[in-house]
Amino acid sequence: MAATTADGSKVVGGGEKSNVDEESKMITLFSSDGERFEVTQEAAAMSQTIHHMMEDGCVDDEGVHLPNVGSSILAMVIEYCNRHVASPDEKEDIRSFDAGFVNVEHHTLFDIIRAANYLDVKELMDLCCQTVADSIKSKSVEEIRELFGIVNDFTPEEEAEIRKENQWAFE
Amino acid sequence: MSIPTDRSPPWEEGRTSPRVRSSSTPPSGTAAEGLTDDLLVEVLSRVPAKSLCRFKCVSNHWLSLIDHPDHRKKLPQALAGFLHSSTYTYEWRLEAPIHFTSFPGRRCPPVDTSCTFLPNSRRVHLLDCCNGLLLCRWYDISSEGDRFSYVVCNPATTQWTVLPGSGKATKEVSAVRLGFDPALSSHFHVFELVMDDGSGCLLGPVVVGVAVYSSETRRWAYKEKRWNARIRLLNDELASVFLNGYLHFQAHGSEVSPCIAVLDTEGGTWMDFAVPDGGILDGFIQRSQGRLNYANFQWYEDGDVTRLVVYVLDNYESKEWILKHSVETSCLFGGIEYCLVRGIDYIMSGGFDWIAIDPECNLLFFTVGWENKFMCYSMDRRQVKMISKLVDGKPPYIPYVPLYAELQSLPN
Repeated sequence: MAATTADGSKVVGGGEKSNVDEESKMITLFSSDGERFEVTQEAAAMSQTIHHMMEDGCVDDEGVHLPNVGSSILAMVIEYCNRHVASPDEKEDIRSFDAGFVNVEHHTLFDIIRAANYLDVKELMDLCCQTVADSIKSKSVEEIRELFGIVNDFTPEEEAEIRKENQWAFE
Repeated sequence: MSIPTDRSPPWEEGRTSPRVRSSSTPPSGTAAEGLTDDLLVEVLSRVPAKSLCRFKCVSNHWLSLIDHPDHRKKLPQALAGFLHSSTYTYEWRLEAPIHFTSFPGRRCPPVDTSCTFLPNSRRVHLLDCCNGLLLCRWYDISSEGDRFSYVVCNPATTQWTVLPGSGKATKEVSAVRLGFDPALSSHFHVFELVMDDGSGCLLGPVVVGVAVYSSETRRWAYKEKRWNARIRLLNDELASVFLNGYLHFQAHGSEVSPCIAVLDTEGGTWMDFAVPDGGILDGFIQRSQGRLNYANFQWYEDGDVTRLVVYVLDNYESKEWILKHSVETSCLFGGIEYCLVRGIDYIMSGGFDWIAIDPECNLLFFTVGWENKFMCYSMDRRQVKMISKLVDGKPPYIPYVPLYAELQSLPN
């Protein structure tokens, strides 16, 4: 439900904010493949990168170009930020949203981690890194290699020696 | 012929911003899908130390990543070994010379566990160790006689700090312990258990309160005890456990029954609860896999069979212990009978001393026998093996996990 306020900017949201604050101003983000996203400044400010740009007055009317983030990933990051600024106090809801959010393929999680790092969204970084960590902690060496696309460059003797040294970790 | 793995970007010096820079070159064998080194370290910093040791076998690159000195500050470390001295102090305290013995397969770079980096030392006694920090009594050159200061230090980074005096006389203090859990807070606490003069109770002095130092406030605060039972320290040669923000120590409670006494850093929570019945020795409490573990020996079948048992505390509300493991000592000790009663090890084949339960897995370390055989028992595989003979070892044996992170609470 959108309403146009006195200065012409659109207010988006549940209507709970009756005054026109900074938060309801929109900002445009462009993904690396040129797609355009309209986000509230409040949601965008979850990215420390964008937040500093806004504070330093570096964001012009055109918006912010993000050459390192593709549209599909940027859409996900925006979805995350929107959800987290919308109802930050509803812990249960947020937890279940987060759980569903990270229920994606590993390579997507890696992409989100890269984007969250570039955009400096700490909570998203924490969430995704922890998710990957939890999913790999019990994996065998071979499974790790497969997941990360790593070729074993130890000689058989070297590998045997390292395994023997760290034997306790295999038991 | 193997495909060369990605080149790691040069380590960024002096990077203080929490935001990690990614390199512009794609990582790993699969082009755009992998993570750059710095982001990989971010993920690995959330993986248990045991898994990290396993992952060293993934590739040369991962091995150098995990062992790199810059990354050690962020990556969890495994239990590296234990500290001990050559003299028996009859207390939970080590006097110089302090030795460090490593557990098998847990190489860590040499760490100055004798704290020679403390300036102007006449003498240093090690009082406790918790998650890589040491609590010491520091007798410096300018002080006389028995006057000392408490020092908390990190031998892996050589950071240290001197604590102000607590105001409690040494003879009032039955035990002093360190509480530090980097997962909860970068600040540490020191606990002094203060006792009465013992005149009120035939069984000895009772703990009347606890003086707690916080590295955040840099002050001591005395809290009068609020346990329901009259708590006496069981004996001051035993390990305490700092877990979930609580100090746990073994005590005698009401009716002289052994118990675990618990208190938090604010003096707001005071608990005591019974330990599992039938223990022959003083029990051994350790933190393992996020829970409080209690190990002891028990007699079964009218004393014919002795078993080593390990319990885990289920939760603080129910105060119930769950039996995690049980093994006959005949299997554990290969048929040899060791004396399990403390202090009388000149009979039979020698005595037994606890060293540690691994914080992350079901491994139990101990010494047995005249030759002080250093043993490792795997509860999962039900296998015991001898690691070495501790030539100079005397209890207490204080487990040590190195901490490479720099702490603001240790300004020197």
